[in-house]
Amino acid sequence: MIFEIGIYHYTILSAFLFFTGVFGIFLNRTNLIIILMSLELILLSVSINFISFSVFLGDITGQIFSLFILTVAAGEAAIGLAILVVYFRNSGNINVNEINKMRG
Amino acid sequence: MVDLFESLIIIAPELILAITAMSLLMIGSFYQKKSINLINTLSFLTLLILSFNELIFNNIQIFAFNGFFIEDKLSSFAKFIIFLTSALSIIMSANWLRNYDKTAFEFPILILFSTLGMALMVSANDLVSLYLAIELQSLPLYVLATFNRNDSFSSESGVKYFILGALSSGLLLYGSSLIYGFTGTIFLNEISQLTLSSNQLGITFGLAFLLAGIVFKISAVPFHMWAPDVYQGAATPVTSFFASVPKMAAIIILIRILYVPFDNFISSWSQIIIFVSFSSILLGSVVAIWQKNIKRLIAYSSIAHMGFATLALSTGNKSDIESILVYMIIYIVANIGFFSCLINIQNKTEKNINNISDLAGLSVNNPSLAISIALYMFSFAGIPPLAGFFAKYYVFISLINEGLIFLATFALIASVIGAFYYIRFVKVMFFDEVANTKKITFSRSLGLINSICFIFILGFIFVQSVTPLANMISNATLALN
Repeated sequence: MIFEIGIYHYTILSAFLFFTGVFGIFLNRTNLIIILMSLELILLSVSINFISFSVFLGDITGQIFSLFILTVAAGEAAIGLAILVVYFRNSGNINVNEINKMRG
Repeated sequence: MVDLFESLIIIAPELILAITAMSLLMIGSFYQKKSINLINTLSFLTLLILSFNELIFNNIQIFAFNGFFIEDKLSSFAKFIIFLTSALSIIMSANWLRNYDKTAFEFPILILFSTLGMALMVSANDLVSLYLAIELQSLPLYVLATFNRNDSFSSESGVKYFILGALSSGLLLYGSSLIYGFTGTIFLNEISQLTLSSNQLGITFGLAFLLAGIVFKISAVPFHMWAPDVYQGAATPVTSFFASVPKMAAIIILIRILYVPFDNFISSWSQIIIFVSFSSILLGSVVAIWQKNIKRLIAYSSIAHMGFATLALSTGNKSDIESILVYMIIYIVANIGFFSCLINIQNKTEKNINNISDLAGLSVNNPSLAISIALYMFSFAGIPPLAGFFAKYYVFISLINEGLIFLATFALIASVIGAFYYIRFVKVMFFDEVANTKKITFSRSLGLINSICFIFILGFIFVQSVTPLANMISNATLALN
């Protein structure tokens, strides 16, 4: 059985990836690197959304937008890793459970 | 439509800011230790000149780069405030920076880049420039939060701010992708013409995600959890920057997003805004009662203030933007004044001043500092002759004119609850037992900033009638009609 892959399939895929990323941030209790991976996943899911909308609308803007997203994602990952290194030097670990010096 | 050359002239202030920031970065990396005073002075002067440039040269409404960038009275006014407050933040951090690390020339440059992002953000007219500007604004802020890199509190606050900030830009981006998909355009003024003929459900979803991203930047309630930790952990000059400038930019972009592309969606977004402001005021006023740390308390107070500012948005009436702008200016001035006092105290005392109880005996050690802090606290609480009263008064008047009596009553009660913890500062400073009697002197620059803020807050009616401020605010309000 062959069926046409339409805009809905892409939207559902990207929504699925997006919420995987969001839940990856909130449910993850072990490692900060996993949070960085989840953030990348969020940005990539949005890129899929933009590109599929762009193809189905016949409009180039969405593809350009997704290129911008890729560039910004690279910068964001660099800053995130730098902050992670600074944090690791001060605390000696990158456990999510132990980021609780300040509360209240 | 304007051509490339005219577009470049329209964005000249931002261009100058970007070129200055990059050349100062070069100077800093070549001359290291020797250059820090030069970089501080140059970045301060650039921001000051640019802010007065916005005051003198402003256009009615003009688009640059094919609608990528908009210049109108609202954005000019916002840029004036943003550049001026960033310039003040650079002066306020200068002494602290000299004591902290003489080689840290990046600090003013990071502030310059973040300010550039905010200036582009208030003039963004499409979703791409909005996203890029917000990222340019927040990436330096993540670094600033971590700036005190040997302090574990600072690095922890940086990690928290980075994760939640990146999540919020993800939400904003997902919202923009839905809006792009369901309307087929990314220009804010074109979206408004297409919203009624497109899929309503999809656009409402996109709007909700977009608002979530922006509400995070102003730290209003469903997305407020980063603010107390980041404010507490970051160095005090950084906190003062966080509490004032980015809020102004985010409020302006919130106004623009709600009233330009989603003008026809007032019934959908006014529910969201009412929820956001209602819960921000409630949480900010109640949770702050238990706080002991000064900066943490200021974070909760800023959450409550953002609730009051967005409350005037819930009427859905464009003329109420005026009361939001007045509120933001008064909030920013009081914040700058308070932080100039706090930074001064922290610079001049050896022991760490973190908790409110550490301020005990300030009225003996330096009466003028104690009186200034008391004045700002009374202004935050909204005691009548001071500026903070008028800020709240305008918001309440615009609510009552629209018949939202219930919201106004509720906000009034919450502001009375909030007065409790503001007045506790006064009690600690004036009536608690004196722990140490070491005189604290004013440093020149911080004293000057403090006295300007003091005069503004004390004589707001007078300032409003003498300066062109009221005129500028009403022009900025008319820009969106």
